[in-house]
Amino acid sequence: MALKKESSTSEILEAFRNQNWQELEITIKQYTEMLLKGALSLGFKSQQADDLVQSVWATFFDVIGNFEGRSQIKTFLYGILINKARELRRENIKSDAFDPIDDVVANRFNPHGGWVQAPVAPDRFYESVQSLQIIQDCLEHLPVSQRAAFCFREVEDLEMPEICKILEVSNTNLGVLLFRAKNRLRECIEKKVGRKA
Amino acid sequence: MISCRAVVEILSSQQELSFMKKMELKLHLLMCRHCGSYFSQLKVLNSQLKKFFGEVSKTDTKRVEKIENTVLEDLKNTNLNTTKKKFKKILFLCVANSARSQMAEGLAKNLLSSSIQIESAGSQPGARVHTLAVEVLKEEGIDISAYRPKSILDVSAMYSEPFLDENCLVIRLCAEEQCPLVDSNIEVLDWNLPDPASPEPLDQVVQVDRLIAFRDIRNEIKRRINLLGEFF
Repeated sequence: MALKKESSTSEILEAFRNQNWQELEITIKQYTEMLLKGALSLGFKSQQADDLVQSVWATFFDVIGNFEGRSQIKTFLYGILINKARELRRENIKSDAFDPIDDVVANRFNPHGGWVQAPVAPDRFYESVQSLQIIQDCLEHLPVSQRAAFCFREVEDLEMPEICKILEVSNTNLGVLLFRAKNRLRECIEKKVGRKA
Repeated sequence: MISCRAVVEILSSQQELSFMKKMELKLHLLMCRHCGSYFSQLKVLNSQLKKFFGEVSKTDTKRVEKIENTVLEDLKNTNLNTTKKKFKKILFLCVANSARSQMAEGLAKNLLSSSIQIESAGSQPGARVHTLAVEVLKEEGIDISAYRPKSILDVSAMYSEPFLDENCLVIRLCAEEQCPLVDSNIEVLDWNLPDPASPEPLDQVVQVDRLIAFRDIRNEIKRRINLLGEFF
């Protein structure tokens, strides 16, 4: 029974229709911790994170009928989580079109693409990035999609096509999200380098 | 020779590279001190963030179990509650029935169960479906090139009976313009999405932005349709 298999959406839908609670409990136990970790990584804290996970499950069972066999459960659940997080943070899809970080990066280069303002030396950067508080402060300013793109890629180590499905973006757009996330964080941490001294 | 700026873009956006580009990149990193710094910064950043996320996402078994139990309890309760209204039809409405509502119709027919009757209409039907609406749905593998703008009366005529009744869920997509009115006994959802076709583009550059606007609206409609499950 404890076999770690990835049940399909159609199997879960059937269990749901037949009110097979045992089967549903297995599914819920399989993914709740993953969702909670996801919610916490997206910056939701304590009760808010717990509530978010519950509402993801509620939506999952509301809409599962439309998804029969179409999507892997993990991808599907993560997708709902991201959408809910965007709603809670009141971020709309339009926010992706322009991002001030693009200009910030552009301004560090001359028209030929050479550095005008070079990055600070790695050892000084290293010092600043040791502080979890600084990381947290810098992460605060990251939109949900960028934060999620970074987490899924660098922390969860998911494949790019899967992340695209979860975030509902093209491969190119995912590249843009990663570019913005990393440069935002890097710029932010770099700015704090001098301050401690 | 690739520029420093290109190196930064490649490193941070994780593009797939050809063998030649990879070699160029390696060579550049060997020779350019600044890009080397940038590269080391990213490495440190990644490993520190891994640590950070590991730290914040720590959970304990009790907490997870509590959520699991609540979810299961809620599930048992909602399943017994069958009073929720179930619809058999959807009518998407906007003004011209040439962009938003047509995309919604195409997407919904593709995403929702085939047992639901799905149509779209407008208060002032335009001449034809917007070419970009057809194009961005084609990107999703959905062909709406044969769709035509219609009024609510046209839709009813197709079914030889009024399409709008208590079994029909109306979804209005208009944002700023005057949306078609429907009887008060009909259930309406107002999605308030801006018209990606307005105003008409003047030149090539705007045309590209326009395509992006259509894609944004398409994605948003898709997202919302996927959340409609509770109505059916």
